[in-house]
Amino acid sequence: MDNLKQIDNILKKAVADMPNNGHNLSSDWDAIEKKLKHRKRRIILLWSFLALFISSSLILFRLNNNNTVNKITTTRDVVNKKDKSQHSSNESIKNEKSINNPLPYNKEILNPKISVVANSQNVTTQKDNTEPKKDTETSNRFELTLHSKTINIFNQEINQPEKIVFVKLQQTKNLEKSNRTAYKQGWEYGISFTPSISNKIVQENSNLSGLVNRNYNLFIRNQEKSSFANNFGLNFSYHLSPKLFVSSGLYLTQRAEYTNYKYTITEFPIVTNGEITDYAPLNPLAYVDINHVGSNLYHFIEIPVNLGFKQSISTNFEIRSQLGLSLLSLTNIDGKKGNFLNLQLEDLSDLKFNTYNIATSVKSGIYFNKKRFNIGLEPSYSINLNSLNDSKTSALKTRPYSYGINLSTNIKIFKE
Amino acid sequence: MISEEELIRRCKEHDRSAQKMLFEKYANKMMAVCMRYCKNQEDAKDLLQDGYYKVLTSIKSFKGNSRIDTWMTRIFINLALNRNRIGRNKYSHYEFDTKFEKADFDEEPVNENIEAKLVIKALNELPVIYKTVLNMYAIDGLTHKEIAKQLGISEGSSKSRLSRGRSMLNAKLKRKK
Repeated sequence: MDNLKQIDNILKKAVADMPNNGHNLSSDWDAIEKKLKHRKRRIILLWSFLALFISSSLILFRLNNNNTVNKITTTRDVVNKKDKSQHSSNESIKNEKSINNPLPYNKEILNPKISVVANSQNVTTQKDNTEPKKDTETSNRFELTLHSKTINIFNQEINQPEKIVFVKLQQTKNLEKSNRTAYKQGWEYGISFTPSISNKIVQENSNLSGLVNRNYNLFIRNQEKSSFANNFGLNFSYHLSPKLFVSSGLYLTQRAEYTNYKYTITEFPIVTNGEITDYAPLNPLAYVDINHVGSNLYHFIEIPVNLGFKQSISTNFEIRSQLGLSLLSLTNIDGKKGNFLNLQLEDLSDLKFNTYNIATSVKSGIYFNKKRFNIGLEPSYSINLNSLNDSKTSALKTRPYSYGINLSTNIKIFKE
Repeated sequence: MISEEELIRRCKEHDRSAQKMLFEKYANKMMAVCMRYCKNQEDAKDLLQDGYYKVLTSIKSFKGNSRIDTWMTRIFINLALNRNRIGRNKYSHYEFDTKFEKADFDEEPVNENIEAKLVIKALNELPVIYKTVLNMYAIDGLTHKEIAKQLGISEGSSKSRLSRGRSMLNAKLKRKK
């Protein structure tokens, strides 16, 4: 066998002696330069999209802030004019203003030492425990004196103060809730992390389906299982109304698969006119043993646009559901995979994949709300709508998907 | 004439003229690599363009631990291996030459004085699995460990393919002579 080592020298010499084939290099450079320019354009386009999105978000945010200030000023002017014409005492004016802020009202109503006179449009307080002020002009007016056994509500005397307290507290809660939801318009910024399980849907590419090896499913497809992946990033959402919001963000997203290959290639596919027509047995010396265990990771940058709905279920908790589309840009691939045609193991970084992908995602879960922040826990599901594989070179269409639990925490920037 | 370090530095800064200079400097050498790993000139031309595109877009990862042409050659080989398997070249590389499989393997070494053109032609006629290992080991100087890693096979498989490839090439050269 050593005798044949001189073949290496013959080969080296032949390669060195081979004359230049007179290939026209300028046309090659033109093609390369075109590709480089195209790549540059794609990067510029992506950054422009991001810049446009951020700047339009900022403009929208500023516009909303201006509207809020205008509304508050107008309300105060109206209240001041009304106060001057209808009330003579300074204390009444102060109490009229307090309606714009629900918190003082709530404090007073829960204080058992203070009597409250309220109607649907204004609230006045009396700081002594004497006879509450009565006003017969408005039919929906009610009075509450917590330390008294007799309550006058809607101009009817009731001798069961405990029930009234319950009714009043219920009304207070409803008012508090409606006040809070009425002001829920604005931004939320935060971070989110989604540990998930990733897998894929594999279909044959009809254009190249004749190139799938007869042992592909047995040796490769069936040995590829779900794997752990995660998604991490920044999210922001704009709450359009008490029930509706839109959300987006910038995430580092993974899709993954676990591979456990253990097979021997003993035959070679014979391809005629782009189709496997037969299989030729390999010489036993040329058998190839494949033993590979690992995880393949596909890394993306993801920009989602989701439409969301929310529903309060208690003072601090709400259910949120989101549905939307994402633009996924493939940034990196790690791992090895069995080839669909010859079953050889190949490095993923050498294969051709679609750089840009569209995915759809849905998530629904519970959020714990505080005044300035919230924490959410949402089961989520996401699937690529287009194939990850390049349709010109791969006989398979692969659409990865993942399901997991989205954990997120957001800071609220709501106008008040 | 700028130094190679300066050329690489400028390429890392996406200087188009430097990129062109790098292309012109190594294009012939890389074309030769492409020709060895492809069946025809059209595929090689395609590979040359894709290879240079990959070189120029990933040159930032070049740390200078080896010669730039060695690093480039590895990139071209990687791409070529990939294209040979699932390439856009209508899968011509998978046409299996059953007649050649039946040929005898000759262990008696051929005379070294043989025309370069005939050697390259004979090399190109080998089944791709043997041709690839011969190319990688004998010409590009990769070790069996590196070949095994690149091809996803064991070192033993790499050695047996090399041995078989040499034997088949030897037989072919004898017949051509």
